[in-house]
Amino acid sequence: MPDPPAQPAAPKPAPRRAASAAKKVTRREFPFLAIGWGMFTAAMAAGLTAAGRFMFPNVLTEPPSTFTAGFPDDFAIGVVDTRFKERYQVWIVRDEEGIYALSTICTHLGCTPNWLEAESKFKCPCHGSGFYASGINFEGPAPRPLERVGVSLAEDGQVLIDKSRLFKFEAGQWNDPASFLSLT
Amino acid sequence: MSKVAPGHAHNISKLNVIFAVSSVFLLFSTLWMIWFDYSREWKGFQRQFVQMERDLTARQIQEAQQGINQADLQRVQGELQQAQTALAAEQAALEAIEAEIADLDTRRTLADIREREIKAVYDSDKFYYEETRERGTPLGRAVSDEEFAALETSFFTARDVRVAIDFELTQKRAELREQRSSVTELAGAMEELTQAVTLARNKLDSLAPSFPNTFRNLPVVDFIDPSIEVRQVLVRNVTEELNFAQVPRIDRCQTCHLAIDNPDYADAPQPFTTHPNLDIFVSRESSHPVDDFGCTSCHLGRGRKLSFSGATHMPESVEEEHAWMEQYGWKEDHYWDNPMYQANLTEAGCIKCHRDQVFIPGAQHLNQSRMTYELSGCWGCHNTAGYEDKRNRGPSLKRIAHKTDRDFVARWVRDPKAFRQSTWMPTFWNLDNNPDSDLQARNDTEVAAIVEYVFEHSTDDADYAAPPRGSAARGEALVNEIGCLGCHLTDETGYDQASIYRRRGPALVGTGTKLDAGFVYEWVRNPRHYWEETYMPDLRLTDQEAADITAWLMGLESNGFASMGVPQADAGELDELTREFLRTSLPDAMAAERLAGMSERDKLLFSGEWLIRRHGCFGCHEIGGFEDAQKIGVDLSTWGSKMVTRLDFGYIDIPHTRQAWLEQKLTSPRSYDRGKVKAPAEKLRMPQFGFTDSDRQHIVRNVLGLVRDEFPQEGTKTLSAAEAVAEQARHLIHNYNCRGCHLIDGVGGGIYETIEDTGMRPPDLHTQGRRTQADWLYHFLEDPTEVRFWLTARMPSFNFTNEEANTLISGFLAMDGGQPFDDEQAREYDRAELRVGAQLLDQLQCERCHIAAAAGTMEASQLAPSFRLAGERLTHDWIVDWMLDPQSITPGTQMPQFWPTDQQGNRLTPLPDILDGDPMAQMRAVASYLMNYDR
Amino acid sequence: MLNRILAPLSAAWKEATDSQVWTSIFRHGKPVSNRNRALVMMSNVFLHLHPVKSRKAGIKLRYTWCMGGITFFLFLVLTFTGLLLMFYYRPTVEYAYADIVDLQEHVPLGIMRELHRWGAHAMVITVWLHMLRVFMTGSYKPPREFNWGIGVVLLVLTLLLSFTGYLLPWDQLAIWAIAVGSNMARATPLLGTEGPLSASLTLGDISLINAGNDARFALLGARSVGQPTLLRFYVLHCVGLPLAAAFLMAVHFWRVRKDGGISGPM
Repeated sequence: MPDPPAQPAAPKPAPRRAASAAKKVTRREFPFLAIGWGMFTAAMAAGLTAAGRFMFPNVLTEPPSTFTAGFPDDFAIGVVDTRFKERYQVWIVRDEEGIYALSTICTHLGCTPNWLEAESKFKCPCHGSGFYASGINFEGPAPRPLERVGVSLAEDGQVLIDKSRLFKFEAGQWNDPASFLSLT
Repeated sequence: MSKVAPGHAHNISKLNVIFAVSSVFLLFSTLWMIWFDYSREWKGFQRQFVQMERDLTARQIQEAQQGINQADLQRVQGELQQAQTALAAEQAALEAIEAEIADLDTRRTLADIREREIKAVYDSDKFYYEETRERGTPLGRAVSDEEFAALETSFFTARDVRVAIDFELTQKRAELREQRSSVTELAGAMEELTQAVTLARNKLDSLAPSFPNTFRNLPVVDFIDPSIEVRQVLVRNVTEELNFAQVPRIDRCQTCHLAIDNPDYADAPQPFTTHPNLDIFVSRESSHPVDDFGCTSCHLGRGRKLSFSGATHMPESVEEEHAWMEQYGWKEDHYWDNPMYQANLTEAGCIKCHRDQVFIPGAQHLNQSRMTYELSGCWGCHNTAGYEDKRNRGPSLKRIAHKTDRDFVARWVRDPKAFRQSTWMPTFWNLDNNPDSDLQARNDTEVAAIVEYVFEHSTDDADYAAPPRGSAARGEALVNEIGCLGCHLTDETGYDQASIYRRRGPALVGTGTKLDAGFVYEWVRNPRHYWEETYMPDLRLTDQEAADITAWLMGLESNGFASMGVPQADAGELDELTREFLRTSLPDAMAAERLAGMSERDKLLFSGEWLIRRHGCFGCHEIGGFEDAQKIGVDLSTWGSKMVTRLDFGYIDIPHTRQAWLEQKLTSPRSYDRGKVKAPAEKLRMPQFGFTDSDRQHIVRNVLGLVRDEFPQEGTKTLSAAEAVAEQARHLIHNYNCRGCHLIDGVGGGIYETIEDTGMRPPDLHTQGRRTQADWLYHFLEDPTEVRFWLTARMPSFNFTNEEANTLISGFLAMDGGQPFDDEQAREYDRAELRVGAQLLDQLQCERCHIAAAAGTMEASQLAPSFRLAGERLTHDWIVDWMLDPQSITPGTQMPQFWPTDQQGNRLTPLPDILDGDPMAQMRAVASYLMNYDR
Repeated sequence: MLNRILAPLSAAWKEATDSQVWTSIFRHGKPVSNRNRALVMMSNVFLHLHPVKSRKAGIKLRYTWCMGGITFFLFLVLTFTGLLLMFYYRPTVEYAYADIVDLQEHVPLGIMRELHRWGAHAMVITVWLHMLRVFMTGSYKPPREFNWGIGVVLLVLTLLLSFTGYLLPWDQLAIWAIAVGSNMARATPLLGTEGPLSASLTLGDISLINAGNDARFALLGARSVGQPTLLRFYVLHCVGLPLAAAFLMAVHFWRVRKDGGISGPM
């Protein structure tokens, strides 16, 4: 469509009647317009908020982020427990001092390493990053140690893993008592 | 205002008003929608529970505080302070070590970085080196032997540096820890002492009302980190069938049943009550943990729904229904095919996985329900998976002419309950759709035709000789003493309250009216002479005993029954009946012609056969000519899953649920014909069983449990090898009604209710498999010998086949973990040990109770089996177990626990001088001696 | 005082409306003159489907019932709520029904599902009322006969959307409704197994039209209602039919303009 270049600042003189009809908002009309637009905007905002909230379901069918993993005595010292890897994506390790849990997400690009019992290390199949049982990286491209997740003792004395809390070694968070269940 | 402005089609002012009003409405409805969506029934329960948890935790804190040993606490506190002071004195030295560690840490980091840098190059070059060496033509870069060796050296050097620092670091840290150890330990001890309080306090804090705790549950923001949230179990093993697909089961019941696994809430009101049986269900340690089984696998219902009605809770009674309506606004949710079992029927849910087990430990109601179902003979007409190979429920009629007479049978068939109230035989006539008021002549004719047919097909043996004379009084005493009451009732009042095991055989009332004396005499002496498949055992009666019992049984007359009219065929009705049956395959004219050529007797036999086929008499009784007949009823194997829409409720005004339908059907089986126009062949055929309320409930429980659900392999109960063997034995135990006299699995002992003196009751067979030697048991089953001379009840001769006896014995062994062969016979006993055993026996005065024959005025409950039998009967290990804790094996036994345990669990001995006071050695000595008592 | 606040505001407003961003989007002045109003309609991709001028009678509520507009509004509502539902709904026999139940149970504002369902029912009603009005006012007469034809196709699409959407909850009602409904396709002439003439389509022993390849099979993707059907109906419901409807609606609205504005006598 041939469109004449618009000149918004200088409109052609408009017919007077139409202009005056569109222009004036009378004192009588104002409250209605204000209420109308105000409420309409509020309703739209509420509707959009609701639609936004709709995107966050109240419950998921994935395993819960906190779970109990059994009693401390179920874990042998020096053993990396891989039972919870598949369902909860954590390894639980007990050393002489206590229990910690490692997230199974490689700190390089997020693949899942494997625990190689014979070589006592976690080895990532994607790019070869290697980690000690402690989670410290020692080979391959991984830039930092594996992250630890929250460990504590539940009310019934079982080991309670809280995957929603992450502890990074390089941030000094491994000293946080919540990252480690002391069993000395 | 009303005028339309120029250039506009509408009055803008008016539109503004409409706009304002509709905007207000829009906003209001949007907000209402958000609020409505937010406020859910279950959130109220969770708020209520938080309050309960707070009260409980506050109480727990108090208890925990009282539980702390204050003296201990103060002592530890004091020691801790001392240790801390001591440590403070060493502060300088500690700081020095810490500084060293810090320094080492830095050096380690540097060394580590260095090592890793070299390792990266080393790893990559190793690859090139290997390629160069093996292929000759290098891939990328050629690495020579020298180059690689140099690299290797530098890598190992760098690693050594790091390892050396690590070693030092470990030592320093150990040193530091050692220095601090006493403080650490004491602090740990402190923590341990106050742990319960601390934990409870933390919990209370998290429950306390606060702004964050309120905020996290507000509408819209309640996705950030809500504390009021849906709780669910994802059941992986046990799927549910929904719209033709196996669907993952998600149970959200715990969203409201918040304390289901918490034993602290056993007395709390619903929905917060603890599960009544955490030993078997819900808890992680039980055999049915909630994470593996969920809730609806057993209870049924709609696990995903979060509302009271939507979860399909079902009320147990009308009162409960009204209470629920008031409290929860309950209404029946008919959008779900499998509503929850009402509480008192819950055990029905066991069947789907435990179908093949004849006895389910712990399911006491269900076990009785299945007994009732079996005894009622429902499966005679209704095919039921698992009942295919059962013997006919009722006695064979192939020799009925010798047992009783025609008139009795006709009166009996017409109305069995008039003769014997407790009989399982149902009534077929004078019901809703064939009342005597309209159809008396037809009903009588049907009965006469059936009786004619049955007697026609009864074989013709010689009549029994008259029995010897006997004393009815002695007979009665015998019946009461020798164990007949394990399977028979002699008094029908309140028969449904009697042990179900005593309802196996017919009640012994009116026998004189019913039976031929010669038959009775022969029958009690050897039941199998008349009916090969009977479960009635041989009690090894002498001729005189048999005659006495016969005299008593023949004296039992049913008043009034004998004078009842005998149903006689009515000629007109018989013609009508015969014509009706002829016309099923012949045109009218030919039927009439055929009918004209039949004699009265022909008609009776012809109609009799048709009637037996229609009423399905052969479902329970063996009748000549019906050996291959098919069951006449609906298959009940999966009735519990039948869609309610497929049930015909007729004109009966009851709730449209499976259970209500079933109850009505069992109460008044033909009532669904009320108000309907039906030809005789179309009428409902199920007879009236006259169930009592409790019997009816048992049948309902069992039938509702017969569902179609199929679970993946890992979700169903698979019997282990031992369990499978035990199961086979339990089938025999069930068939032969062993529980009529014995307690097995802690259940049974039907006869106990007739024997007040606990000492006179047949024994509890708990640990039977470990108790006796397999050999002995085999011979005992074959030919029962006397073990407990004071008992009047006799262990009957069941005439087990070799296979049955073996099955029973292996089963007992499997139940209790016993071994079929015992090395006791071959074992060399130490003479010294035997002497000690004899000495102990003497000192403990065992033989005051364990005697071979009655002596003095001892009560039966104090008598015990003689030791003479021990060597060939018992096992060494079991004797020790028995002495360890007699009550755990036979609750209520008079046998004292000579070696009790104290509160710490240490075993004590009454005779500290013998065998150094070692209780186990003493018990073993006694056992060894007993095993050799006779030698 | 008021001016002190308003003056910079109006200056900023002027600045904004004079900027290249603004003028590149809005190529016309305020719609205060007839020319500008016409420009608004012509230079806007959505509005240009509408006539520049409407007859006064044509927008009288009493005359049009605004049924076409309401139908279109409902279509938009259904698109929006349908889009949201697609975030939670999985078209498989294991999950379809469970996902719908979960929408009611634990997805916040799962009421979207109700909005979608009631909206769909309402749309069928408004389409019908719209056609009734068009019929009563004789608006199907030349030169509008083509647009009437388009309208009829849109009616069919609306019904098909209802039909396909009906299966998606995968409850018993849905399964059996589709089982029954799709049986009609068996009777398609030539292409249905039980339709006229299809039995004569043979090649030697081979019957060319059978239960595995007839019109009903094409609809169900299987010989009976099952997983393939659910997927097929899902794709049709969410992609195929809405696209076709949107396309035809554009044509429909355009033709309203080309055929002389909303309704009214020519």
